[in-house]
Amino acid sequence: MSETVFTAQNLTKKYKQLRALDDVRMEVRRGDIYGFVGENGAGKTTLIRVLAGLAAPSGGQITLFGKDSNLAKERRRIGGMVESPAVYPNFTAKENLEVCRLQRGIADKGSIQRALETVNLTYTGKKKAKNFSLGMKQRLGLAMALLGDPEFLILDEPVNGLDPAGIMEFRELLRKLNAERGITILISSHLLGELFQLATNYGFIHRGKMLEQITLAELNAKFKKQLYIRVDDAPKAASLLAPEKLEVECLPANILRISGGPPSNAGLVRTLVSGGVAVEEVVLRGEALEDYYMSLIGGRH
Amino acid sequence: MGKLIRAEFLKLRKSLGYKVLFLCAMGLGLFVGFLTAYVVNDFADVAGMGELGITFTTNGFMMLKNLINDTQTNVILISIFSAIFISGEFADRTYGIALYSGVPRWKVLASKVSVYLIAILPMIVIYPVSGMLAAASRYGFGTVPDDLLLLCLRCLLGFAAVAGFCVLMSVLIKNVGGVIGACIGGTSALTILNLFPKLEPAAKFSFMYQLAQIGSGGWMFLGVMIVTLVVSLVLAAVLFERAELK
Ligand SMILES: Nc1ncnc2c1ncn2[C@@H]1O[C@H](COP(=O)(O)OP(=O)(O)OP(=O)(O)O)[C@@H](O)[C@H]1O
Ligand SMILES: [Mg+2]
Repeated sequence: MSETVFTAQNLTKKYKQLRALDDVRMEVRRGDIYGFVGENGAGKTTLIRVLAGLAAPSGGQITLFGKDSNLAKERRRIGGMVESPAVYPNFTAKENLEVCRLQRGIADKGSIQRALETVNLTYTGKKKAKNFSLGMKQRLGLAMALLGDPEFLILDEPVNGLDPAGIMEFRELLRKLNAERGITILISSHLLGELFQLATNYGFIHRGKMLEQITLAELNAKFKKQLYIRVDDAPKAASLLAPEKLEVECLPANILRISGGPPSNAGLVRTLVSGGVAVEEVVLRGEALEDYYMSLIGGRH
Repeated sequence: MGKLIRAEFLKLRKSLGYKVLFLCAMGLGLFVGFLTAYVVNDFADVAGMGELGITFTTNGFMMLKNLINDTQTNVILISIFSAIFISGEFADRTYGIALYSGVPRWKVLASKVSVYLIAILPMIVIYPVSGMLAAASRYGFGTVPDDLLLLCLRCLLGFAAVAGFCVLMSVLIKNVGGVIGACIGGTSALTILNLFPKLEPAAKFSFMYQLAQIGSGGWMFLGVMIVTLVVSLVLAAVLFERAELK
């Protein structure tokens, strides 16, 4: 088992009666891209604020890099962006990074330019951060988080406000940081699609409770694959597939929905074609992460 | 800590609010200085006092003495500055940047307050000095008053205590408008105390009462100011240590 970068045990955060975090147990290991998923108000930002030292827990314990005391020292190894990025509004991008550099005690002045290049924000010149667009602020926030090569990057809904190209670029960047520099990443989102195919681990939080932590492989195994096939004669096709131990459902417009994990899609199509059924269209759809998430929180609403 | 202080100086250098306040202090000093030297004094002469042999000549050092312990103006300057410089960062959520960079909270506040206290000095100096220069342009500087040094020290301590109180308010209230209100209100609550003469003996121990004695206060002034400064800063540190930050 690899080293843990962050753990939470029985972590609780109360605001008066509300338990924003309720007995949360969580574990992020070195090298993970941990997708932290939950609906609005689930407690994602609250957990990240506790982790980043902005708020104190009401109960329970957290560890950073295996240590549970003197966390401020360990926080030097993390870089973070909590909610919409906080920036010094009257400073330019470079000045913002300069303050960060001083605060972190980084001697190398070249790190500023490198961070700006990493996030593609070298063109803002004298413009003050308060006049940045939301996406530009996000990029600056990320540059500030990346300054000083952190080992653990914490990002709270980082793609809010990014355009589609920006989102793709961002995902690529995170993947690269993870692969090339070995940075562990905790990324929260309420949009599961953003995390899909990026995160290697998922934690699902709902109303302050951690419902499940699961690796991508486990998640994929749980996914029910569904094959949609449009044919010229649905009843005939269904009867051809009857011996295959599949769940076959006839939908309108001569569409068959097949689930239950066909061993090979090609084989399935061959069976149909050799049986004299014309196959017009084949679509494979995994049960979306959304569906899985909904099934997790289903009944708890 | 040295780097943190440099970061705070960088913020100060970029602070438009601070520059504006400094210029206001200077402008106000010049305004009061010129007004007194060229308008008020002449007006008094015209009013007939000149014929009685009483002439008003507010020379440079007299002006300096008058303005240096002008608590009202300085309280306003200091409270606005603390609201911008200290509580403004709560609103901008920028204290978090230091915290998740692993800077311990006490260091964040300590570097902030050090630079804040240093920055106040030019502001409270430029006001009486520009007034002095304005008055001296007509009547010269005059002689250096004997008690000038003592007065300066008293003001330094008094305004340091005001600044400490404003730090506490900034950390407590966190909101720019609220901080200005609380600082000005808190330091001028004396006027309300005046309405209740029976409270006078007790009020003597209060910060507001002693602050009004800035031009003449003795040991009591010294004690109350030091206590206010220390207690305010300690409380501010405790509050900041526990503050929930966005
Ligand atoms: N300072 C606070 N005082 C009172 N309640 C708070 C405070 N901060 C957060 N909460 C509550 O804690 C709960 C969790 O909020 P949190 O911001 O962690 O949600 P989130 O998962 O980040 O949601 P979103 O996806 O909308 O960002 C919410 O019910 C919120 O109202
Ligand atoms: Mg949130």
